[in-house]
Amino acid sequence: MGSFERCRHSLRGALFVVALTMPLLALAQPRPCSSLPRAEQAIAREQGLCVDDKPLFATRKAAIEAAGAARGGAATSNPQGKVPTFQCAAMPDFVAKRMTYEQARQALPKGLRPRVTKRPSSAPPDVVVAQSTEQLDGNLCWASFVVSDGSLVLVPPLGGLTRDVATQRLLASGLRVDVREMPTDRAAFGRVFDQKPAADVEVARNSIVLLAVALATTIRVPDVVGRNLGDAQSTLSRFAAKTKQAESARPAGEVLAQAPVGGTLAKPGSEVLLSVSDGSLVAVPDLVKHPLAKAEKMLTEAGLGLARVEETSSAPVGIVTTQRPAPKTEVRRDTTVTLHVSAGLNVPGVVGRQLSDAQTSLRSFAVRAERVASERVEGEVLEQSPAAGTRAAARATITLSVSDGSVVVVPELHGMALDAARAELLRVGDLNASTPDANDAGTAIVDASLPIAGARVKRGDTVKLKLVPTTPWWAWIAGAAALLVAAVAGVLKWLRPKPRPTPPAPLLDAHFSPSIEFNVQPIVARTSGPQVPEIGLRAELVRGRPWAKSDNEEST
Amino acid sequence: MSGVNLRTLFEFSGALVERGAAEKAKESPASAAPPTLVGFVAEAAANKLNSVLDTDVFEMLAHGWLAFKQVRDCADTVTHPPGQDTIVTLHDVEIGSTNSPVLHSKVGGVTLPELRFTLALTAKFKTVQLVVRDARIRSLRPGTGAAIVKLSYGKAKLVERPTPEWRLPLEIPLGAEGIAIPRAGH
Repeated sequence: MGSFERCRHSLRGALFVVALTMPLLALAQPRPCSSLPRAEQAIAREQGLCVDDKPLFATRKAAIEAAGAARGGAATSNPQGKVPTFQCAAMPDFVAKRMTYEQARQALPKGLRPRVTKRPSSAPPDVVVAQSTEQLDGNLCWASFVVSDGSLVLVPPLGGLTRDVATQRLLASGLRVDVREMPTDRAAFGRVFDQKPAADVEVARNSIVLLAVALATTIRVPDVVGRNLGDAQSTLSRFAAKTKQAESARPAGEVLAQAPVGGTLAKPGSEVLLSVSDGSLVAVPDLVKHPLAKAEKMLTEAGLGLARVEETSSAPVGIVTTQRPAPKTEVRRDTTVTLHVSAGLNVPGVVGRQLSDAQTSLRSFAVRAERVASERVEGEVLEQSPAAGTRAAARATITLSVSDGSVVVVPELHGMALDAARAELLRVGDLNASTPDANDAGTAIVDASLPIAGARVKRGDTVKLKLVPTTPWWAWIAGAAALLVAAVAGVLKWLRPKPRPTPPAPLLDAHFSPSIEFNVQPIVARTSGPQVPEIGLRAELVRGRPWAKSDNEEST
Repeated sequence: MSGVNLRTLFEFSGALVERGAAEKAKESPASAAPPTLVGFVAEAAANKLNSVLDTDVFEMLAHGWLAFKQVRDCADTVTHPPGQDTIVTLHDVEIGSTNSPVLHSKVGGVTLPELRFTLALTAKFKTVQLVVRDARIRSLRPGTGAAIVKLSYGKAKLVERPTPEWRLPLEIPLGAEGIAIPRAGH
């Protein structure tokens, strides 16, 4: 191998060594602190992980001049010859354009070196949310970008929205909702009047947003009457329930009344007064129409006392007709309840009256009539049971013994003519007369009867009559003739003419003589036709005569 | 004639006679008679006075028709030849007649002053036709008639009232002679 080849191998080896040692040298060299984020520079400097860059140039002027005009900046010098200033090239506003990092990097001016960091933001991922240019020592310029990682959500403004709409918006934004209803006058009922976090604040996804929703200024008060107190208080949780004890027969703890009443509109949190039963009263049971014994038992069970008043009534005997206090009245225990108990009706006396009349008097009772044989008039009440003056319930049966009129008492016939005796027997009881010695029946009179007078026989029986002779017929004729003569004389006397009374003399003597003179003034004649004259004519007609010449006066 | 008497239109009553007597007493207190025309005496006097009212009204008013020129013109023999009937029709006729009933009385032998009443009758006819022949009114054909009667004593009006409506025949003859119509110039 020649010397050339050896040189070449030596050079290759030297280069290989250099290639190997350079990275090591680079690693051995501390990093410049300016390449680290500013927040880390101080710590890295203290730990020796970086060193401050040495100025490459002795003076700032030399550095600027060395940077050159084409290295992302421009070296300028002022006219006074001072040190020229280097400025980074201007960068478009990528944030406003909401461009992604890639779009921004491609649009960077030449000479700017892009540098990117990420941070949590509500902007879409990789969208530039901040940008800046940074001049390194010398004439190097960094284009620093901060891009969004899309991990945050922007809380939307929800004030004034309804509860549902606000909830939907939050859910659509990836947030959770917690609604609190509160009375307020800042917003209408059901509208969001406050939120936390506030609008346009970035929060992590699934964060809870607290919404304050306005309660109604007035709400309906629930009706809790009849419920027990605990139930009522829980039902009235949105109100301030207050209770007061009240005497009542309802179970203890039952709500008797409330104010305001159920259904009334009231402000949430307003006071609702509950009247709660203390169970100290007793409801008077309904005792009317009950027997007295049962009524007593019911009162005892209810813890009430009893006072009894008997009164005449058509109700059955012993039945309660009225009570005081009235049924369902609430009274304290041991209160005395006055019961009016039926003592029945007075049975009127009907003995001696006709059955129809008795039935009228006993119309409040049930009448049972039993016909018995009696000489009393048919239909006459002979006895009654129960007796008059006793008491019986209405429609109680009153038994009446009523005469059937079948018994007849033989009348006294002594001295009566036969025909008269027969008529009397027929009159008193359709009795027949039997006359064994009927030869002189025309002139005989009754001496005795069989059965004798006063005996009781059945209607239609036959009574035997014992006759005795009586006055001769001529004596009767003579008497009759005398009576006739006397009667004729009386009639004649009555028919004799009587003298007429003399008329009274006239009381007054008056004479009148009238006369009349016609047309003592001219006749007046008119007509409605035209050209009608009015002419007076003297009448000549005179009737009657004057008084002085009268000779035929009439008297009155 | 017509059958309508003055008495059917008006009758005295005892009260009217009493009032007349009272007016008479006011007229001449010096010659006043004792108040005897009262009561049934006055009733009797009224009955007597009524007897003179039995006079036919148309007889009483007969000469009233001559007041109308249409009637008097009928006396002209030139325009109304003899033997020819002429009908004169008058409308809304009103005829007034003033009469004087007088009562002389003697009570208990004492002659009382006479009572002189004034009875004015105003008869009204809606339409009247007069049948004229030979210058005489032969008959009347009155329509509906009515009248007003006024009784007074002196200046004192005792009564004034309308009479009942008259029931008149269709034609009232005025007798064989009728009522003569005076000729012009007579």
